Amino acid sequence: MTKGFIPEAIMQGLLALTPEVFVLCLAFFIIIADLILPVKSKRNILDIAAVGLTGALLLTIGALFQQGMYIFNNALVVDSFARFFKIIILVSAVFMLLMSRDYKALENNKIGEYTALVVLVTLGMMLMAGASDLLMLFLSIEFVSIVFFVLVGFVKKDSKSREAAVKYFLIGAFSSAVFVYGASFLVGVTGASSFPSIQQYLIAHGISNLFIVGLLLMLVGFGFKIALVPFHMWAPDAYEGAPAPVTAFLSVASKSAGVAVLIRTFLAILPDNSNVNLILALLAAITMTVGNLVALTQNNAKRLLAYSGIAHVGFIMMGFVAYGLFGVQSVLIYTLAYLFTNMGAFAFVIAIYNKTGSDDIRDYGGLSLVSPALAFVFFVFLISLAGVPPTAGFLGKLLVLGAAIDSGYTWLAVIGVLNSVVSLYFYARIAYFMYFAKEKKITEAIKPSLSLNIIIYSSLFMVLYICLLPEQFLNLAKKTVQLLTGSFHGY
Amino acid sequence: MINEYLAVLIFFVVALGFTIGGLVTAFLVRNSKPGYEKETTYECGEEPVGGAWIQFNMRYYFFAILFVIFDVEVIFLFPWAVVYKELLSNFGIFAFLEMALFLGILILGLVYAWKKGHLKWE
Amino acid sequence: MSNLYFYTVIIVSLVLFLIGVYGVLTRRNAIGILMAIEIMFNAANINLVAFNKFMHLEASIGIIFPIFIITLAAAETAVGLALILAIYRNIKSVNVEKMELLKW
Repeated sequence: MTKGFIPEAIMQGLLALTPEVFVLCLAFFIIIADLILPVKSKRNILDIAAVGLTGALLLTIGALFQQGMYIFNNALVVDSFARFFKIIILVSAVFMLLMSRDYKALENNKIGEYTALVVLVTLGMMLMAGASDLLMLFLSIEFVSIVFFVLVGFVKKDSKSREAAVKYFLIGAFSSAVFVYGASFLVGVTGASSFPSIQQYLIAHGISNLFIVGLLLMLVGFGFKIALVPFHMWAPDAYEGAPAPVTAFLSVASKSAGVAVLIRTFLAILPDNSNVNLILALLAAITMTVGNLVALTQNNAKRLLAYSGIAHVGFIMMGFVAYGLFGVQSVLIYTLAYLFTNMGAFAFVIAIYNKTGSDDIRDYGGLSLVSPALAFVFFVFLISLAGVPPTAGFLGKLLVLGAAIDSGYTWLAVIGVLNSVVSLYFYARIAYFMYFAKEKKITEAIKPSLSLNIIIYSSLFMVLYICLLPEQFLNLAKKTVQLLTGSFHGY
Repeated sequence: MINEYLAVLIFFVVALGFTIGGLVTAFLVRNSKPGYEKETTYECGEEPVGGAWIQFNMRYYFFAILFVIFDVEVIFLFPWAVVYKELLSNFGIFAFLEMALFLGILILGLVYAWKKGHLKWE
Repeated sequence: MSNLYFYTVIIVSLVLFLIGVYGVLTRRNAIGILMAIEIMFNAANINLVAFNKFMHLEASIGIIFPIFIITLAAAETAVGLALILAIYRNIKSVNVEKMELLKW
């Protein structure tokens, strides 16, 4: 060991984690700013945080293709795969802060607390994307969950928000208890907690039944995070009750971080996934189907997007079940498409909520008459969610289905296609209310604020760009997967 | 192994006998005159007010939570203190600073609660 | 001898875990559910400590892991109690069946 002021190994780790350290400092800065600033100027804290997170985003993008490595005794791994998800998380965090700027339900004197929590949860999710040790995994997942419990229940006056938070909390705590019980078996069987050591053990000694039991118990924790179907009950309630920016954040960032750890854990631990793949495939099929079928009858826009989000997780899982280079690539593209599409759709929900105070899609009538351009943009997001060309959602679905067929899961792909058809119905239903509803509830033109406009148009640009010029995104995904640290055995 | 625990068993029996014996003797010897003063709860000589099954002030909750946070933090201090000398020889003063950073973060939380007025009794 | 002892400990932790799951599924009181969840966390703790004692674990991870679990369980409980308290002010009950504003 060197006798320097900061030990070399730790210094190296901190340097590799520059964006995270930056975000952490930002969080402390915001907490202190919240204590010092007068109530009137607290809205500025949101802007400070958005600028800071943009800085962290640029840092991460700059380092995207740097060589991956394990740091802090294998507790974390920093590679392109982790950075890709960090970018998704940071982009959605910046969007979320922009959305919060003129979200009416937020009180001025609570802004500092709110922003600090958002920045901290961003940090937690960034750590989640890079976790490569069971302890680190547990810590980061809990970190994110606990902060989200608070954020979901943040609007104190709203009893829906409180109820959602309690339900989210009870299910979340339960699933993390199951998760950690499963993790204890993994630690016990393999005698180690870091992914490289666990994989070494498995290659040397094979997989025992106890190990599989532990892994399936852990799947409960992951399933909760990404709202896989048997563990999805919290999602619609939490999405409906939470403040809309938090809902958008929860549905995009928390989900992608969950997908990242799920993929990372399975890839880095299991030498091959044949033991559990069928279970994952079944879960994917059930998730898609339940999400889409229940979404058919929803009238609350946030709740509808929650169920559609569940269905999207089913598709993401389909790409993951396909495994291998192509499968993971398709997941990356799908997540990217989902980020921009969902953020755009939520920006609309907030813009309309700010105007009318309602989240009900039946109140969207007349939108096309008063602001036709906006209605059309919303329509583009809807068809992207449904997966119709020429939008990013289409490309994502195409790749995921392709990956599933490629690895022999034709039945899963067929279920996926059928689900896409079903999903068309409820997205078209929103469009129907917008364009053809007899009751014109919206009578004045909707003018989204500057920050919402930024989100809407940049998302629109990306949604079209990803589909029309997919080449560089495909290359990006390919390069990212190739640089994935930890190994694909047999691929 | 059995013999080692035999001492404990004997100790236990003696302790039990001593306690019960004392109580029984007292019961046989004393005369019984229960009264209101005697039946009330004894708490350090203070006169009790009201029953124990009342709702406590909500304010206690904040203090309880803050206490729990600082209480649990000690669990990290113990292992650190146990290997502190080793850490000091390996990492130098950084071993100390690391824990100082951790405590600093917790203290920031306390300052936050303080500034926000959660420590005031109103 | 020690092997038998090991299995006893593991079975105790399994029983604790199942008690916790049963509690979560049958309790109607939010605080009761919270307590059941704590029992489940402790089952994992016992498991890890037992593994650490009877197997050879890398870097005593079986001792370090429970320390973090205990801390996080405390943090989680603090947040959870605050949320339950907040809803108690609204609906004057901690019964989860009374929380019916949001469904389907």
